[in-house]
Amino acid sequence: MTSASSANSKQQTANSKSLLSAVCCVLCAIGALGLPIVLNAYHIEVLTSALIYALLALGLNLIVGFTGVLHLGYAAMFAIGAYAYGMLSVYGRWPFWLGVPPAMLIAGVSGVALGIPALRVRGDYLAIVTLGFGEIVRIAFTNLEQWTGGPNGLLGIGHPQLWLPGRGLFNFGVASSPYYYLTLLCVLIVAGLSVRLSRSRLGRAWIAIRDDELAAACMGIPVLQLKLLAQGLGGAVAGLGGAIFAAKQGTITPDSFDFILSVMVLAMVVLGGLGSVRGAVLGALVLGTLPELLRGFDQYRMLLFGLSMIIVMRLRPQGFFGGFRHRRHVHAA
Amino acid sequence: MSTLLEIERLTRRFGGVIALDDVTLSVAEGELVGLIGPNGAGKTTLFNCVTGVLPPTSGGVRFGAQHASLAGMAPHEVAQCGVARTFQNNRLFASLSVLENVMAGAYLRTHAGLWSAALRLPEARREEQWARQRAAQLLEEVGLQERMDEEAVSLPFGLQRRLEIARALASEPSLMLLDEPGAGLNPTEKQQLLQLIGRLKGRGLTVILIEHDMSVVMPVSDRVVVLDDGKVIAVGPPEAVKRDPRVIEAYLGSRSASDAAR
Repeated sequence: MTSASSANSKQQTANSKSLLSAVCCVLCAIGALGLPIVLNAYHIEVLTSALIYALLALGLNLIVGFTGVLHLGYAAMFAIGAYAYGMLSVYGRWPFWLGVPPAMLIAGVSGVALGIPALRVRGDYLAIVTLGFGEIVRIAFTNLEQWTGGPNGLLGIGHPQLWLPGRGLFNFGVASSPYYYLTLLCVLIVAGLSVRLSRSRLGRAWIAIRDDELAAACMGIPVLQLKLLAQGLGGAVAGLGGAIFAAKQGTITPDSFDFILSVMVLAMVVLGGLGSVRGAVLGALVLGTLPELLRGFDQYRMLLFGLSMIIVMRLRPQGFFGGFRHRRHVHAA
Repeated sequence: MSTLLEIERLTRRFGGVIALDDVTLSVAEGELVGLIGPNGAGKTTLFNCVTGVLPPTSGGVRFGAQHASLAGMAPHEVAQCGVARTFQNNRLFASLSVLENVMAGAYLRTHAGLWSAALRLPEARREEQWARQRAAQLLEEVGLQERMDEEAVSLPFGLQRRLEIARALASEPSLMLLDEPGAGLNPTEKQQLLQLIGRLKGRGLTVILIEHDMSVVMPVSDRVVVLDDGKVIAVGPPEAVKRDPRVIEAYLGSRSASDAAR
């Protein structure tokens, strides 16, 4: 076989593979769109929160998965986004759609602001600094009672409203399904952008930093700058998730944003495979729904949850989709 | 020929240990300098000080036609000036393919920003195509064109060495620092490597080559620099350095060992 024809057949398998994955994506999208018709309100509620987790996992994947920065305070970014929109809504009467961009911006800037001092230290120390940041933010929101309502929570956050042709102004209200669609849309957009980024020069540079920071720097990759970029983007995604969460709940309290949330989101990213976009989504959907699926086991529920995580990590330490990225390439020859 | 790199009275201490002691050295454009010396002589430390990996304790490094000072620069800034390097123990990007490793090396030659990368705008797409072709070319040059899609770290050791060189070339440097590229290679692989280095020199690239094996470095070098205990003890054409009694004493130990090395 000549090399040209082997490259050709390689291209064909790559094409049929990409066709297959495109078909899978379309089927999943149709399925996801149809779910609220089939499932009851409780299931939709569970799925919506799993999708918010997926948004967070996608954001944290940019930081931990791509650049390899172990971030243990990611819940703080989520909290900042939620309180930013919450306070704009409660005190400024800002509509949701106007409140989202500043929430993302504030959370993104917070991510960069945390990164500037935190990225001076490495490894375990960096993890401790981010952990501390997470706690500081949560405690600050608890203590700034006059603005945040403290432990009682910030009440009366506005739900999104959408003008629909023929139906007039539609308020998202307290039902889950509008939030389900909104979050699904956000997950798809963020996942799509993440995949594209991961295959760009920036994505390669991020992975290079994760694999070998010194070698990356010696290739001219500005390590600190790109890590800060990932922190900012990751923060903005959490800000988006936070704003949706706040709008959906109508009330937010600081204990929704505790250390366990940071750990759970990290577990989702690790379970899915560090740096894998579909892995982050799948990890979030599995870990987000598993505690509910295991409800039948009553008080053994969290035990089984923990056990299943241990078993998965024992069998696939690289996560569902981790490890070397097999991808098709357009051959130059 | 104009001077490309000037190392002026460079000293680097690690606590009480003087790894580099007042090293002065200049490298002309297009020159291939062999840097030899026994283990612990400070060869890699010299590379680290030039590339910004380690800050020198004192002394300076000047580079290029403008004699810009590299002292105090971060490694990525030094790379931006046109200095590329390889590493003594291969430091490839483990989760990237062979091709992607070289494409990552071309970071400085591509410019797509966040938005054009995330939205995959036409300019980013064109640039990506260009980077891919360029990387494939470089892989062909080092003889790795058949293994582009493999996992970089699954390559045999000798090929990883060549991949490191291709990755460093992707930044289109004017000075290439090769840190013992021949270590761990068998004689055939070493010959191929020397041919490759010869081709690089033929294209006008300036190279500093660290090598343990005298017989490897002598035939390709324009000049040989011998480091011992952090000091430059001899500089000159290979034949002269080979006969220098100080080199024989410090590096080879005895006359009979020098015969063995030849």
